[in-house]
Amino acid sequence: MSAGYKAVGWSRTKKIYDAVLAAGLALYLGLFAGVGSMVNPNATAETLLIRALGTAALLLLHVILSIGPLCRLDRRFLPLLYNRRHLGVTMFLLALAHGAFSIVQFHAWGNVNPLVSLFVSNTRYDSVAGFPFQSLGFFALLILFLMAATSHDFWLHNLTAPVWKKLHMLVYLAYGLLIGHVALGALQSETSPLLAGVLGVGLTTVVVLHLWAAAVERRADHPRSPEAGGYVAVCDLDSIPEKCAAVFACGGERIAVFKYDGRISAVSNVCQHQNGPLGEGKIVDGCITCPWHGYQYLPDTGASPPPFTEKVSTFRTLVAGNRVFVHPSPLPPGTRVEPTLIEHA
Amino acid sequence: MGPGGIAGDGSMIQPLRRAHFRIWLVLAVALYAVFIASLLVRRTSTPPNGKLHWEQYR
Repeated sequence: MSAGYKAVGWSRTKKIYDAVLAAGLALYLGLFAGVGSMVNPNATAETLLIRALGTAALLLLHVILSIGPLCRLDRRFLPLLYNRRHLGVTMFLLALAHGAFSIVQFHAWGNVNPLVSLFVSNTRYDSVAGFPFQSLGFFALLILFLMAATSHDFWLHNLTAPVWKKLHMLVYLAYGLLIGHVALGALQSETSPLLAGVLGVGLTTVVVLHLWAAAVERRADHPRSPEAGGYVAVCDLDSIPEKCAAVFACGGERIAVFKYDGRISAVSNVCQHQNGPLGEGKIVDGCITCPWHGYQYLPDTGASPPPFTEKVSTFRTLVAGNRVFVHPSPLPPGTRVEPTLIEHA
Repeated sequence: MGPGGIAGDGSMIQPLRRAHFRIWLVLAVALYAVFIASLLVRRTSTPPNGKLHWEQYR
């Protein structure tokens, strides 16, 4: 939760996450350079470095893009989401290094400004095989820079969540540009089927995961009709595990109904931090805890405990027999609603 | 209701999910088209010479 600006809120988990990331990258770059120099002994160090950095960035982007849908499909992947922004910034730095070395290698030794040379040295925009693929990589890098520069919560709060989310959805455009960059660039000169195979598998994985997760989400959004008094029957009491929630859609949005200490409370399912699914979190130390980044809210008020200021909407609840009902009209964020007592608890 | 309310949530989350789904439908078609086209046009533009490596002549 955010009580003030802090560059990185380091925790043991984040340090382990970043250490594994750094070790994995060092291993990959070292292996790529070592194997690459053996397979192609004429390749220069610059060429190997450009290829190693480019492939590392592309692989990492595939991992980053897979984490979101994987977490939607299986909660066991949630720990990967916890520090995804560090993955994103690392991927941008790898792509930046790849781009910088490439511009130096291929455009810096003439009498034209290297950035101008990038766009005027090849203008065959009407050709597939000869397409100026480097410009695609340049524009993708610009998007990745924008995202890395605004990745901190400082920008999330100042830009507001809707603007920040829309801005960061540009990663899909960047991904498309990068697939074009590789398919129309390296794939044209690389005769080995390895690159084509890896790119095809990566593309298929990311596309299938996103469409699969989106289809699951659409099914979950199936609306329910209100019954007497405007309340909506949600589920059976027994179906909600202790200190967890049942999530249901109403009016196109989702409400999380929590069961804890013999009580029922309902809040908006949308965390105010990054729209994480509160209903997939648990009640920890008396607070609903977002499974994405650990933001917390009191279940009866929907407000974060002091000194934090985030608030989500609350909803009135009823329990009749074993059935749980929720009134779908949201109350203003932070409004206290007396939790419904479970009689036989 | 302010951006923190359910009205704010409601006006944001569901359109984002819809946009996300549509974006990936378009990307699936467009990126496979680019990928397959790039494989189809692949050709060797110069006669192969196994003994020649441009990096030796820089």
